[in-house]
Amino acid sequence: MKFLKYKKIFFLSLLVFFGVTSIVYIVNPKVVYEGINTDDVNFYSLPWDKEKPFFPGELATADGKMGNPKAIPSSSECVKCHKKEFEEWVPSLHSISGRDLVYENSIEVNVDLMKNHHGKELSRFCDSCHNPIEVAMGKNNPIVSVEPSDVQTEGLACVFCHTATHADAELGNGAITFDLNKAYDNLSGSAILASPTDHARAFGSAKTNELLKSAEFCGACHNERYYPPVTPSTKVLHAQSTYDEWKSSWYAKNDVTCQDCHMNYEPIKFIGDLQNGIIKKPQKYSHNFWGGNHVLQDTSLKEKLLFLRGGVLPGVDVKEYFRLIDKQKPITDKFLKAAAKVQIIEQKQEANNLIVKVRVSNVGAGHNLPTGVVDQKHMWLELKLTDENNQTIYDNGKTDRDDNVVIWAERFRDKKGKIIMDHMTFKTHDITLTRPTIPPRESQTITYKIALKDGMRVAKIEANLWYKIAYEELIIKTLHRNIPIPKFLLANDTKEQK
Amino acid sequence: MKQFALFTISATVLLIASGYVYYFLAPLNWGAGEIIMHIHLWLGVLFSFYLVFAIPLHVKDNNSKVKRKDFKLLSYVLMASIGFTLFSGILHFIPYISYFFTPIYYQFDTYDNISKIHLVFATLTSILFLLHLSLHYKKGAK
Repeated sequence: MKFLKYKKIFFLSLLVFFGVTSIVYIVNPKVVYEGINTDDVNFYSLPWDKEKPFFPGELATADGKMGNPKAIPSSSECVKCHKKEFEEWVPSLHSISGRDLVYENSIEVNVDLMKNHHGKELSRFCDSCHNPIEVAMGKNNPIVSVEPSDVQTEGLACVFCHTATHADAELGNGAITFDLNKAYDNLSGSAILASPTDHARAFGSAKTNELLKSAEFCGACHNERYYPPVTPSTKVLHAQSTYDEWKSSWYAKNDVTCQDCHMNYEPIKFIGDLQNGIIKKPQKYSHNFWGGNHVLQDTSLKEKLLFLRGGVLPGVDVKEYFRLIDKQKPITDKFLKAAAKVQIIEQKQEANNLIVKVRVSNVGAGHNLPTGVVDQKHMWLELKLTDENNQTIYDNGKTDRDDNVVIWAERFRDKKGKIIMDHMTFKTHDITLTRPTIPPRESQTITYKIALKDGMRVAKIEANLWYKIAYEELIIKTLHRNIPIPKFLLANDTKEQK
Repeated sequence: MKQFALFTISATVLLIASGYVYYFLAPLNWGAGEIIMHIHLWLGVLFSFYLVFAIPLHVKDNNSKVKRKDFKLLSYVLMASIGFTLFSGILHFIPYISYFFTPIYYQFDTYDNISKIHLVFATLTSILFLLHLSLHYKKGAK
């Protein structure tokens, strides 16, 4: 055929192409970042299970190897394209879960407590959830031979969740398997944007995306058990059961997951809708991880906040850092307040006694109130009576130290039964509750019987439900400062007496 | 006319070959795949600009000479196919260039669909182009 007169140019073009391609493939050999064998991490100590390099944490890498610090990108790389997600994550507690100063020092103190009993190796238990990338790179070791990198300081960095392939919430203690050593792109930023196949291989596998939507994923860290060697006790201690609490609740039965509230762009509206029986799952999820730590988002603390949060994260400057935290704080406050309700349901005089019944309800949380490791986070009720001159005639629960205060908290106890107030996990022998925490959509009624002196007239009854993220003992132990921790008003109710 | 055909044939060969290599072989060596992709994208953009001006001229010069209906129909289908190929290709180029300004990107699924559309129409365009050329030189084509 006559058109074949163009065959020369056809074959010449093919020849050019194959020539160029061959040169490109020869000159640019395949870039391979592989994980590091545990044996190749110098001085890596494995005092317990040799097959589980991160024990007593339940963390695991998909290839069974340690993370390669040269390859794993910092979240400050991700911000180049995922600015919105990065800016949501920055003020959250997930970004500072490893660098939060109280946490970090708490680890040091606990490690020191067990310095002759593999204290440093024991810290893998805590950091499996708080700083999993650092753990997976082998940094929690008596002799650190792993080079530093930004991502190790970012707590739950992007690469952690976005490479996760498996989670076991029943097991808890950080039982997440993540494909850390595939968490890098071979392509440059612009090439990724043209064709994100490699990016999807590294971060967005269908398996990962599906897992990230599940409550089981969150539960792998928000279920925590202490057992040897973490505790000297021989029994399993349930330190945190947030996932279990959710699992047996109305929320789980109605497929309202952790993400639906904690990663919702409009969490308060969502919780309000749930209270009205409307379940409308979000179309898109935020990376704010709304939670219960209002102090570490309080910018009025100024440079102290920076200090407490362990400095500024890579990829953001101080001014921007404060702006982002400021943006998150009001919603965190509202989020906390949306969880609980207090009602004075009955008040009556019996002889010289005033009987007051207060109902405390968990109206907005899909887990118990309070939840988490509640040896520190705790909630208590204040009942205050004032007379017609606004003089206080009774006030129980003004502080969480008052006698007979109604308080919801865990008590860690040592071998002798003495209460541990400073979160010395590794010497915790037993855990008890001061009173049962309040399950979702349930209430507890507290009855007060107050003896009134003759002629005393109560004009106003006030019930305040307070919340505090930690006890001062923890701050004294970790920061060597006696700083009062601000209490937060979750809910209140007032009744005027006629 | 001859120059138009020569340039179009060589560009099509280079684009189809580089596109196939990237689509199917890049995972074997992403580093090399990236260079192939850069070549593919920039050549694609240059060729798109060229076609946007060259095709109307080509049609204008030759439309009145074409007598056979099947050839005419084939030419229009070819043009439509070129349009889809170029459009889906540009959709890949927009995020690529945006990286240097304000990054724009789509959902993974969207990328996947655009890539498939681009691949299918590029293949179809090549076949139609080959047919176009063969009919063009067939006796009595015009």
